[in-house]
Amino acid sequence: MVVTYLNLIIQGVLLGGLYAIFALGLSLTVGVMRFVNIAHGDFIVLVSFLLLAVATALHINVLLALVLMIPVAFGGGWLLQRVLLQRVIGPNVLLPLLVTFGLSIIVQNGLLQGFGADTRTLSAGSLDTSSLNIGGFYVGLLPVLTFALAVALVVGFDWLLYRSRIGASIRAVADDVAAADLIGLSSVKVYAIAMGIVGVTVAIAACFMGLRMNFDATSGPSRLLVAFEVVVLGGLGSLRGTLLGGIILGIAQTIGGQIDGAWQVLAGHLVFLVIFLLRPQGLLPRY
Amino acid sequence: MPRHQRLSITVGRIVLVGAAAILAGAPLFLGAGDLTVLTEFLCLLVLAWMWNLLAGYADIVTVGQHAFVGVGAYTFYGTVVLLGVDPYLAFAAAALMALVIALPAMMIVFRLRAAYLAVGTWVVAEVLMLIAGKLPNFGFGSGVSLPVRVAREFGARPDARFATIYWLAFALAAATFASTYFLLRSRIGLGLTAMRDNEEAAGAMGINLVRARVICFLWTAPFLGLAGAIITLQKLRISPPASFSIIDWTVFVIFNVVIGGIGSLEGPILGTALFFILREYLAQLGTWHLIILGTLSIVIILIEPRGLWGLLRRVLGGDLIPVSHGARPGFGITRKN
Amino acid sequence: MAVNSSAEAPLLSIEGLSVYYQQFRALHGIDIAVGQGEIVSIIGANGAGKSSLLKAIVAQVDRIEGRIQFAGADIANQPTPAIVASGIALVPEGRRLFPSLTVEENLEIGWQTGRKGSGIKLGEVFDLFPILREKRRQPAWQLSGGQQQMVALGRALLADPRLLLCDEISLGLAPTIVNDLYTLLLSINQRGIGIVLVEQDIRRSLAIANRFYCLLEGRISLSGKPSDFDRDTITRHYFGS
Repeated sequence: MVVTYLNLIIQGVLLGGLYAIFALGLSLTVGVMRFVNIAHGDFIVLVSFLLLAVATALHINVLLALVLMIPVAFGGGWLLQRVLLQRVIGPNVLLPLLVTFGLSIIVQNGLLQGFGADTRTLSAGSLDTSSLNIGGFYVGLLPVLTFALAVALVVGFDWLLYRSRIGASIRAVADDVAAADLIGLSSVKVYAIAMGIVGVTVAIAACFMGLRMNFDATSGPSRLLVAFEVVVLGGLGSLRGTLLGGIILGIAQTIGGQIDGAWQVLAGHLVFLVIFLLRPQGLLPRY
Repeated sequence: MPRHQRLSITVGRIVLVGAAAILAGAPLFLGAGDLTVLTEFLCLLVLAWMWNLLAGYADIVTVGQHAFVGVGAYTFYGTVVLLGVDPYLAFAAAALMALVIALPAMMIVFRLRAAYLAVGTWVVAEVLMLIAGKLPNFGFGSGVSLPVRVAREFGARPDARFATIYWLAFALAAATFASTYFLLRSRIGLGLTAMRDNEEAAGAMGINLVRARVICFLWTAPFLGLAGAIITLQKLRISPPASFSIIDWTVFVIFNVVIGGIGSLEGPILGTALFFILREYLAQLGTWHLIILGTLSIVIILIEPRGLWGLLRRVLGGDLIPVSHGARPGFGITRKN
Repeated sequence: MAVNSSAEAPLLSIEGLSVYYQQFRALHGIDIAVGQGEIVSIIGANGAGKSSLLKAIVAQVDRIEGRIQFAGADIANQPTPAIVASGIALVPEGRRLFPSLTVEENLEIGWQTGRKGSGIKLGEVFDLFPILREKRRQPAWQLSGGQQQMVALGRALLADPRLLLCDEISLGLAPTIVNDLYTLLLSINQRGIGIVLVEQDIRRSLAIANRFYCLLEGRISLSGKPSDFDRDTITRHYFGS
């Protein structure tokens, strides 16, 4: 019995790694540019479809397709910010909310139109089903890799934000965008780069989500809600919090899913609401 | 104000009043099919006014109002079918239950700001929908139909039924309009407008902004619940994905208000009317329908955040439905500084 | 009526400048010149338009009319980053440091936005303000007002400016600290860096200025050399009686 629950917790933790990757991009968006990208989940799904298309067309492994996709994703995020979102960023939070809301619907229906309503999945060959034996527990190689990647990304982001010049610029603009503009630090350029970085995380999330679970054109919103709950649970502005938030949500969903398949998502939401009510500032808030 | 503008406003008002009169008497000269469409129109108008009240005046953007529509639907079904209560009392129950649920929902989401609040309302709606799908007597995930005997209580013959349901929707729309109008012209409305223009000054004047926002949030719940009940009566069915449909009761509504014009009472009317007209032509396009609506919304936000009504109003030079006390209630769009 | 301290073309030349915030007009067609290596003081009461002037120079206002030329080039239509990169650095009113960044990071950002030339380096800034070297890794929000002003000034200096714009740098600081700052400004000026000094404290700023302009309700009410006018005259034009 204990063994079963321990197993569940391990699975939950590993799932949490994936959820943390979902949330990283959203965390950057809300922390730096101060808006919630309602289309975040839909962009993840969009890239999943693109990865599938590229991998199929070029007959390559989806992981290689990811490598090819990363600069494209950076460019996409950069372009989205420069062309569209930059026009609506400002003191009025309603505008970016409504624009990204519109984008969400457009992307979902565009995907429906372009790829149909079928459920898809990504495959990386034998990686899908390989497992490791750790101390008597069998854990999937893919979940372990995903978790390791999540940790690596959190460490990498930490390095980027706190030990690089562009990171200092990003934090400066996040602190006080008006001051940045006054002294000649172009918030427009910084935001665009930040959004490009978000694009890269979206691509990574898309790949590992697609490998791990099924997706279809309308899967975006559920990914957004997961990312949102992870960001809020973890504490705004906190990278380590994002990882922790992901783990908690992963565990909640895994245990809930064990009780009853239909309880999986609901369990996650309920745990989120309870923790949020008890600690609205998040578990590891930076501010 | 120039004479031609005064004339335009008067004409506009006459058109509005005329349209209201025609709507009032619609069952007298329209058939069942048209009445059904108009009933739906009136319900969506109620939803639009309520979303607009929150987003355009109280600075609360929600993406979860479908929660209360669903609650109203399920409560109506439960009280009428399971408890055997008189249907008209069931309406009251639907409104009340929506309000009851709105209280804890508000306490949760009001701890979040702005965009987080919006997604928070979405989470709440998801939770309510998932719970609804677990309720045994309500058909679980696939829902259940309303027994015909319930429908018959609103009229022995289909004609009478459609008419009664229509008039119920009309009554709801009229009540929503009138009460919201008076709310906005009251001290609370004045406070909201002041807050929208300058939050610090409004606070300094002692206008209790938190109280105003709380009142607005709770205010919308019963109207949304009633709309949900009437919709159920019309569709004769409840189910989690339909009663709590984010597309039908939130997505379309938001698009309609944004395109028509946030922050005015006329905008939602314009947007919802446009939606119904376009639907005739766009519906067969399937997914393109939503893509077009979404794109149009974004374009409107970029060009004229006050929507089509904002554009029209520049020509007219005044409000048809004056809500402000003198100064025009600008929808708080600020560009730089 | 600009009088240059040398026969060269002015470093900064402003002609017919009007500044608008939406419909409100903050400056009404004013003319200002700053010669190479000059210290020019802009005095005036609150709301006279002093901050608007500085912000207009770095293109941080809604709308302007008129000409602004810096080192012979027209900068009125350039974006702020380009203007700063061409040699104008602003020390904003209220310092406007980035609170969560360290002292050193705040200073580095100044270097990033500037000319990246052979001007003052980070080490020199720490020499000028030794206390900042001690606190280099502390987040800026932990510093006192005077120390923050030092960082703001150091940040501007690291941009290697030819023209330094100082907006109310003495505001809220103790007199001894202000004295030190002004002594510093003089030595900065001796390196050939022009300074535009916006201040409410008339006495100090006029004491080090080569020339001054007095703004009253968006217009120039008086200008010239401080030594040419007595205190009463200046006060009259300051308050507009």
